Amino acid sequence: MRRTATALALALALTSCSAGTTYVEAPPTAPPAPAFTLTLLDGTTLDLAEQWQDRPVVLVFFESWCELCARQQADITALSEEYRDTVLFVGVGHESSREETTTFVRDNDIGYPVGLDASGDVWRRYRVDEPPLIALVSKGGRLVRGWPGGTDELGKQIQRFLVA
Amino acid sequence: MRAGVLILAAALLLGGCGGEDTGSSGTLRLLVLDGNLRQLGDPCNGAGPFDYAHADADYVIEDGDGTEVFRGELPNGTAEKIMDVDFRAGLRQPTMCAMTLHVNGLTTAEGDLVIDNQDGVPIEPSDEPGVLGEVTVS
Repeated sequence: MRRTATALALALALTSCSAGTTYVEAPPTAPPAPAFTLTLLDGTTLDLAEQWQDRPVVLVFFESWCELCARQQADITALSEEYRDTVLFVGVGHESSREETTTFVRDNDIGYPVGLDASGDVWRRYRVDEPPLIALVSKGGRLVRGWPGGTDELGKQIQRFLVA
Repeated sequence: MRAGVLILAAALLLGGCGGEDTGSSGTLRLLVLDGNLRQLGDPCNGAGPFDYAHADADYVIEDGDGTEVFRGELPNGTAEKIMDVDFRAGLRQPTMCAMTLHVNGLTTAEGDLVIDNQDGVPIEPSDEPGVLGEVTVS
């Protein structure tokens, strides 16, 4: 009986499989993630709400002059490579200039899309008081978790909240 | 030729931009009392309403008459205790962001610190050894 209940709970927790990937369903208490569009460094526009309909998203709020961001970046870059086909990583700067941000991206070998929220609107909606802040958005668009100051366990958290 | 060398030497001596310590600098502590939750000792910048006080932001030291006496860029800060409460080790806690500025030619704790064209904040004398003055942003 207990085993059946566990199996049922597991089945409910794992929402959907696509091409061998199992996405973790967001807890029912998780609020909808604030939707936004972001102008990327190359001038194109990314519609995040569109993106998280198809796959989970890791939002990385950072600034080029943020030492703590730079310290954590190598791990984030590695994870973005590891989950390249299943999770979209997106970098969101605010006050850094385009040039400073481009240098930060180059220096840290960042391969995922990065854009600037010059107005600060997205930062305000995600309550970013100080970078770094990392937020996880589930497939379907629920804000499942956020870490002001970043986290040293991002890989573990992705497995727990986004991709089983 | 000689005049040219003298001008070059003077320019090198007076080239204080960038906050470099050339041996004749006074040390200031900039304390940003933002109360942001951080791990003690972590690198930091001003948070929330004080986000203008961040590494690489321009600052100016003005004397009592409002004349610029030094110009530099803020360094990264370090998270320090803001209140005398013992939190569990490793826990994020309310902190202030403390930055150390080396200001060429500063010999007295007078004048104002102006960060990124914000209102000037007075420099107060400091009791800390080796620190000439303190500026508190709150």
